[in-house]
Amino acid sequence: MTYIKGFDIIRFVAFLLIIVYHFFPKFLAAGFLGVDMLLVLSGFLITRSIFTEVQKTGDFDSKNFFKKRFYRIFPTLLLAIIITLFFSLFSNPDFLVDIGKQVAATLGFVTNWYEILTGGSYEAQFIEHLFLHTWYLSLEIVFYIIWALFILILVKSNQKRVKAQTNKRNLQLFLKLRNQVLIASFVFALIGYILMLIGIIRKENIATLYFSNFTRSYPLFIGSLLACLFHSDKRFIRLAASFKPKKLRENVLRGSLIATFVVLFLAFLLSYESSLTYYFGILTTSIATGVLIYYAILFHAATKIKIFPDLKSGIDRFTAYFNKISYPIYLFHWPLFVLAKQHFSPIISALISLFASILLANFASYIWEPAWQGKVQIPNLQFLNKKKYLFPGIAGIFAIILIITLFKAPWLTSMEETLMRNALMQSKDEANNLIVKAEVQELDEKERLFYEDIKGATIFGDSVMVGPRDYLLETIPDSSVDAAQYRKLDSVNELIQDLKESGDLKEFVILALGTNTSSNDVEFTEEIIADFPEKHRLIFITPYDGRGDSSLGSWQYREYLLTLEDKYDFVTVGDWFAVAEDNPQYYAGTDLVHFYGIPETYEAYSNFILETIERAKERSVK
Amino acid sequence: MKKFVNNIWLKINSIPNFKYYLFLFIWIICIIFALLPSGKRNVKNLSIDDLEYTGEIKGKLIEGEGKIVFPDGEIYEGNFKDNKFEGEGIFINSQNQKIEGNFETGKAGTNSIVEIEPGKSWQLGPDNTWINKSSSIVENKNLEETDPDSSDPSQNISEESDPDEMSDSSENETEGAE
Repeated sequence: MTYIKGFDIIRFVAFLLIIVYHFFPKFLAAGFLGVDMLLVLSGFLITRSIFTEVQKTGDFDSKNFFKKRFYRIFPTLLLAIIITLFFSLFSNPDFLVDIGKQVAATLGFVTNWYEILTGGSYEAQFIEHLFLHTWYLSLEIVFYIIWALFILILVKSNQKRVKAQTNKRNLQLFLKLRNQVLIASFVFALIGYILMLIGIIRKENIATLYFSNFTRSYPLFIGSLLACLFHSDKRFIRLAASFKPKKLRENVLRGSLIATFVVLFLAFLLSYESSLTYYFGILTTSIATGVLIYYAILFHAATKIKIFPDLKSGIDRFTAYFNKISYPIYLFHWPLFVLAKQHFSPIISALISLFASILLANFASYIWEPAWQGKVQIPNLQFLNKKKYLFPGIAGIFAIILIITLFKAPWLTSMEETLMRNALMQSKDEANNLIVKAEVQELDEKERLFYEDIKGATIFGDSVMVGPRDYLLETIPDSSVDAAQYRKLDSVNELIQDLKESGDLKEFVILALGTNTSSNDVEFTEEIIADFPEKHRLIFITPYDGRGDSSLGSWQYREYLLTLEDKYDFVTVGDWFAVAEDNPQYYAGTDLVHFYGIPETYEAYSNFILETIERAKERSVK
Repeated sequence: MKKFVNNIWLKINSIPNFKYYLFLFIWIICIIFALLPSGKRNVKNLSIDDLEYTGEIKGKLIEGEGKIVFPDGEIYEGNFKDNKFEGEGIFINSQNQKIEGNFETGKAGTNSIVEIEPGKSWQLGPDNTWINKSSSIVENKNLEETDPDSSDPSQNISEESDPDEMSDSSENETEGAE
């Protein structure tokens, strides 16, 4: 297979997008589209390399194929795990929760499914998983296996059927295979895209659409489809020769720039939550990458017939070097960034992570990876080539560090522990309330009436409220706080009605919800207002999600809430969102949604709710 | 040492495709371990901040039978679900007052019996009505009098008589305090 230098530039652009997205997700909200560029390129290169082999030998050596992929992927992955585990020992213990499962998912190349099973909500993202970025390897590995086996079956069955003479046989075998692969790639890509469409139309969990092999692998098949279409070098040379050099240069430059611009535009415009990403963002990026591949081959063909001078050797050397260290950088940058962010600002953490990743990537590419194959060439380090010492040594180091990490790993993150404690304390408070009610039964009727006139506030919240719960109980007289993880608006109307029925609903009913959004939030809220019991006052506290923008559900829900005060005289809206925007220090060092562990914010939040209650007193009861 | 390593290395290499099978085996184990949901297990004296739990847990939730001790000595022993009291259980607060009953998502439901003090009990009836059960607890009161050291609420749980055994002489039926 001929080495096409333009591909290194495509890979560089894709990596840049991904890494900038990881470091500054607000700046480049859909930088993850770089993954799809890599997938198209990968599908293209894998299929093309198999084609070249079949054309040359008339056969496909699958064992050698897997061996090559293994040495490319596995050793560096293991190094990344060892180094990440080592650094995580000195960081926030929350990162170690479920670390055994995360390592297993990474080594088993199922991080994407692990994330689908555990993630997909703000709560799960509160502590970022250190190996989250390895989800992408699952798509690659599953594709390698399925595609290689599929092609192997095709090659073997074709070999039985094609009976031409030796010199023509290989060509015939290749042509037959190419046609079959063309159809298969088209069908698989189409199925993948349709599954994605069905998922987004049916409003499936976005994490599933984003991570699943079924919905996210289709760019790989678009790549292999392109490999079938663009396989003939001769055709490209003829095409290049048919243009005037100046015209060709203009065409290549214009075409590549437009395609790159399209991807960049989408990367700035779209986001993880935006449904447009899944309708057409990924597909358009894949097609744009196809265009870039086309121009890279055309450019390469032109340099071959000397229409163009070759790339300047400086750029050439840089892209080739980058190609070698890009995969290790990808593996190292994320965990190092996440761990560094515990101590430094995002910009400093990004710089530290990048610098350390480049150093480690050089070690991985020039010493570690060659050692696995006994190919270390640095004179003083050639002892590493002895596999019988190297492998048990690596296994030993890995086992020791894994055992230490597992030993140190807590069962729950601090947030999960707070949630658990909160739920148990709530149950306990309910039980004590019931005892008080039974005690009231011993009183005479006059005294009982005094208790029946329940003042105070019933507060409903989601995981955001778990932190300040105790502050709220202290600040707001006669209050009860019911905070639950993942709570959405759909369940709240019933809770209010139940409390009313049991006589536990207090004068002020405060809803601090809307962080976990659904498409029917407005309907649920209208329902709550319509069914709201008489003689009570309803208060909404607007949610704040500092990571989003106006396209985010919770931001839109806040806009809606702000209109309610004018419509209903028994509804008061406290705009915590505005307070949070004015006081970024309240969310310093947090995920910009929850503000756990900052007493200043707990106090401000509790006082804000108290102020809103005071304001509600001036308004009506229902 | 060198010879020993050599021998083992040779033996391993002599098994046909040993490395591939080993790799495949580890791979499958990793997948199963990563994706299989964690089942039920028992823990003893598990600290949840300032609370202490002994009993069953499922995944990352308190679920099944267990006993939780709160910082002020209050105790719940019984069934849990989703980190809340759920199903049959007994709650005893710091003043030795007690609820025996069926809990639903953290709340005591109908037919739960609240003992305010020895001899004074109320049962939560349907529609938030209360049924006075005081006279029926005399038997229970006597039991407690025989044990003067019952100030520790955790010891009371085992001495509790079954609510079904109590007589149904409900004298008073009053409307609940809604």
